[in-house]
Amino acid sequence: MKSGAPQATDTCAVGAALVLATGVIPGGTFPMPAGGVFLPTPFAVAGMALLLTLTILLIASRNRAVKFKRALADIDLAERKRIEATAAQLAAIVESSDDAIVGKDLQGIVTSWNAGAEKIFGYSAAEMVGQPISRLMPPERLHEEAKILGHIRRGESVPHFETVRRCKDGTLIDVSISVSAIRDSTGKIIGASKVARDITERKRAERDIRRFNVELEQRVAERTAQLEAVNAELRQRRSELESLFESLPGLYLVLTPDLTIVAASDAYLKATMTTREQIVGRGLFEVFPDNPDDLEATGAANLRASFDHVREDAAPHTMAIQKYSIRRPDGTFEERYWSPINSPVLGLEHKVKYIIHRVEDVTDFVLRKSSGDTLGLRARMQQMEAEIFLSAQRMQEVNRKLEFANKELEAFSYSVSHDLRAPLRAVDGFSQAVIEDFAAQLPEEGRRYLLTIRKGAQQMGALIDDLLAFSRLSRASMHKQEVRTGELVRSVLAELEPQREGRRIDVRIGELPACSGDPALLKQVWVNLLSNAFKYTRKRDPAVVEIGCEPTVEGDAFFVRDNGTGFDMRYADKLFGVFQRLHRAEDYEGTGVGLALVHRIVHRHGGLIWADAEVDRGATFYFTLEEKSPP
Amino acid sequence: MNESISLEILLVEDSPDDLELTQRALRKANLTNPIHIARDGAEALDFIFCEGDYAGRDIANPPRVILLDLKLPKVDGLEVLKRVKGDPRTAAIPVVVLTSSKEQNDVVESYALGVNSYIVKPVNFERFAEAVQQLGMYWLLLNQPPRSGR
Repeated sequence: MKSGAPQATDTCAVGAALVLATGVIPGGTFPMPAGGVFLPTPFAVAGMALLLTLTILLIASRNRAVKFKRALADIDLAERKRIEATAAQLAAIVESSDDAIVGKDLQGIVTSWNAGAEKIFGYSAAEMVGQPISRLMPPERLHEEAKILGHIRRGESVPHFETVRRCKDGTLIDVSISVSAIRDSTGKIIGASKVARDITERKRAERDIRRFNVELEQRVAERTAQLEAVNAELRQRRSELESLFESLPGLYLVLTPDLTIVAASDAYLKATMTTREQIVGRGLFEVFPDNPDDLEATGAANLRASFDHVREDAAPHTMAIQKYSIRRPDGTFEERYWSPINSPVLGLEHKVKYIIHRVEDVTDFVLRKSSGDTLGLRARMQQMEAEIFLSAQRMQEVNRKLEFANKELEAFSYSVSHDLRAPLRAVDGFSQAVIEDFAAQLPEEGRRYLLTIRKGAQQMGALIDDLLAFSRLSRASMHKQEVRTGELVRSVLAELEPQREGRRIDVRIGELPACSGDPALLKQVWVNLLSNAFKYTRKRDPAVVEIGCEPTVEGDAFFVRDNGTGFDMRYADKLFGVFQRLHRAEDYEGTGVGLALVHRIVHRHGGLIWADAEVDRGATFYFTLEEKSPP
Repeated sequence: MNESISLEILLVEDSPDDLELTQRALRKANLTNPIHIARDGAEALDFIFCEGDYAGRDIANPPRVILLDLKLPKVDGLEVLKRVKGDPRTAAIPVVVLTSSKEQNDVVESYALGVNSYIVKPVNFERFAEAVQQLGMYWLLLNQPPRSGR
């Protein structure tokens, strides 16, 4: 150390304290005493003590400050770490979001750009940070930015604003943008954060739905138009058909099965002096009643019967000429004659859906005939036609009555069959009861009377049965088929075996060709003829009955010949009448119905029956089944 | 149940004469089963189905055979037949139609409705008695009714 000019004491003292304290000589200019020995003076000793005290104080406070500073630094670090972690977390959220999250300053310069933004817009963060956000805007949308920034500056956020943005590759996409302000710690707005979502898919779906809707509406409109066109055509055709039908030259009426008028031709309306409005929708007989002043009017009844036929048979029915007077508008009736045909219109399951009633007005024909106008061939022709019409009409009327009578007869035979036999049973049964229970108290004569009563009752019963069989025959329907006559006759003979019991009867069966007929009815013929042959040969021994087929003037005929009692040919015309008998009851029992039955059956087959006989020399009955042809 | 009670004959007949004759015929045929008589179709149905005056009867104890006239007051015989044969509780009861009617329609319809026999009452009492005896023998003695489910 080098001794130099003396330093100011305090400076010297402070410096010394510093050197002592720190071991450092500031500026390196501290003068060292010669010889290296620092000799203390009294002043120097006092200064040194002060210096030492200061130094100790200084060192102590300095240690405290260091400790404080260290504590402060520790706190700072934890806080920073926490904040940093939060920020990292937020950043990760932002980075991983599919939405574009973009920060920009108030000038519209991008300050942050997440991965979502890169994915949506195609630009990387490096490409966008520091660039104006307007880069994403198609030219026609540039004005939006100013507006958005305006809102942001005013501190307003812009939620869910749908717009279009351009990507790096130039494609335009639909986005939904929410923008909100970013403030610094003092609350001052320093920028904006923008969250953008790609809604292209949604928009496309919306557009698709709109387009589908439009297309659907269009299609519906097209179909509706088509249907309307078809409807219009149908209406058109219907009205054409209607007008065609209405202008038919014939007289036509269309009816429902319950005889409500559906349509009428103009000609019909004209002929019946009616209008369509008056009659359509109403009942036929309500519109066209019989003339109440004509007590013999049968028009309505006949017409009704004809409709019944049509409905039952589902087939057309032609009526004879009908007198069916027409009511004039003034309420009086005009005599008219009609020739009607009623035909069914069949619907599903062969059911009658409509009835077409077609008539011809033949009043002129009929009235000309009545007026006795006899001019010229043509007039006479017409007259004849009219007569035919009239007789056909009469015939129809007769037929109708006959049908009715047949039905009545049926009911009558039923009650005959049931009610007439009941009292006879009582007569017979109680007579028998008297005989059984009181025989001992009865004289012989009384018993004989009772037997006679019983015989009478039984005869009456037989008559009723035969009569019913006879009347049933006219009603029974015939079922013709091929009949093997030989087999039939043999089976009848077997059945009649009881009638031959105890008698010698020579039955000779010749050739019996097959024939066509109803087997049950033909059997009845053979049963009756053969029974008769056995009955009327009762007094012959041996009796001879021949059965066969031989040529006659009426063609080949079956015959039954016997050598019995025969009959007088003078009464031959009575032979086949009902209840007609040529023999006395005590000689030959019978009801007189058997041959009548045979006669009717043969006639129903279109054949003939006759007999050849001589009293006591036997009888031969011949029959054919079809006129003039081999049986 | 007493066996003899279940051997009952139900005779449905409106004519008093025929009634007496039929009873006589049954008696002569030694058919001494109890006979219950119904004078019209309605009464017959009440008896068979245990209704009205017969509400106390047990339907599970049916008559052994029903002799049925066809022409009856109130409800006719064919209707009675139809009800009896149409009800599972009574379908097994033999029904013999005993009638004056020879009408083919009645015969055909009776058989269509499931009648067991059809007999036309002849005028001749002996033949009637014969028929009654035969049908009585058949339905009461020979024909085994189906076992009832009791």
